[in-house]
Amino acid sequence: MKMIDLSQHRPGNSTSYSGRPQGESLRVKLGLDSLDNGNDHVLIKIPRGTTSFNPSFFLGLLYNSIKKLGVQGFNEKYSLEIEDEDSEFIESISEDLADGMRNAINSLNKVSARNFLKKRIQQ
Amino acid sequence: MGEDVVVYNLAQITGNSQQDLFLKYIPIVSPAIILLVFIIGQFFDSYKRRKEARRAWYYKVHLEPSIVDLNSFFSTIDAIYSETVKPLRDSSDENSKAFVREIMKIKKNVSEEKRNFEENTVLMIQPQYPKIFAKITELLNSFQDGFYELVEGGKTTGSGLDYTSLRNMHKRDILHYLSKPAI
Repeated sequence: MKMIDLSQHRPGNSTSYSGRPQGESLRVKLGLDSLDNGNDHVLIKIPRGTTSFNPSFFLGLLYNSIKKLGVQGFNEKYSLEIEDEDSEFIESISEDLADGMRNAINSLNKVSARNFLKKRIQQ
Repeated sequence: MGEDVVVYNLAQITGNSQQDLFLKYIPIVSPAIILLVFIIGQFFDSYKRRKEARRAWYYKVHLEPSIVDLNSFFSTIDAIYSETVKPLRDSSDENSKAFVREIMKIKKNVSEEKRNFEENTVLMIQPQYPKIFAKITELLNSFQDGFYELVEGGKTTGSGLDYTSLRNMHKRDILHYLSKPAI
């Protein structure tokens, strides 16, 4: 298993991960393209005290992997762990991650968005 | 004395000149051209009518309610900014756990508003206008990034925008893309 600790990559004074270019730049730095092709499972740790993990950053960091591996393949290969123990922080970051994933799926194709809409209507 | 080769063309054999042929077929050709022009005209009219109907449908079904939702979204964000972000930035206790929790709560509220706007308004146009949908999503993400920078950093975003400029710029651009299919 390959572990990536994002605490080393959060801007000094900030409590959030933000910006697509920043995500893309970190993706290159971490070599996620080559990790996508390897066999290792990848665990990404989001450090304690993070107040947001913006969809823009999520897309910059992980969209290419989702596109390459597909949603199921991505979920099998990558895990995201929120290190905070505070339930409010965990809930907030989890929602951010879900937003990022939803943005990625919507960007991938129309069919996914239609299915997503259908689901929402059925609920 | 060599043999003369005499070549007769069709007109000479049949006794019809090219002018005769033209006169013979003109009663058939002219109605055919009129019919063709009529069919082409009908095709373009039908295309224009369908386009106009589609434009009117988009205006009524998507644009009108979208503008209401867009105004409501930005009004809510305005309220969040003036009621929570400004007082927070004026406080001096930046390193406390309570301060960080307050930042997280503000961001959570903004995320929820953005999510509702995306799901109830923007997602509806995705199947027919995927490029416009992608642009608006990008703008909303950019607005969220800018707003969070203000929550964390102070009076301007990284690009030097204050809240009002950030808001107006993004609202104007989102409205521009939402209106595109109706123009």
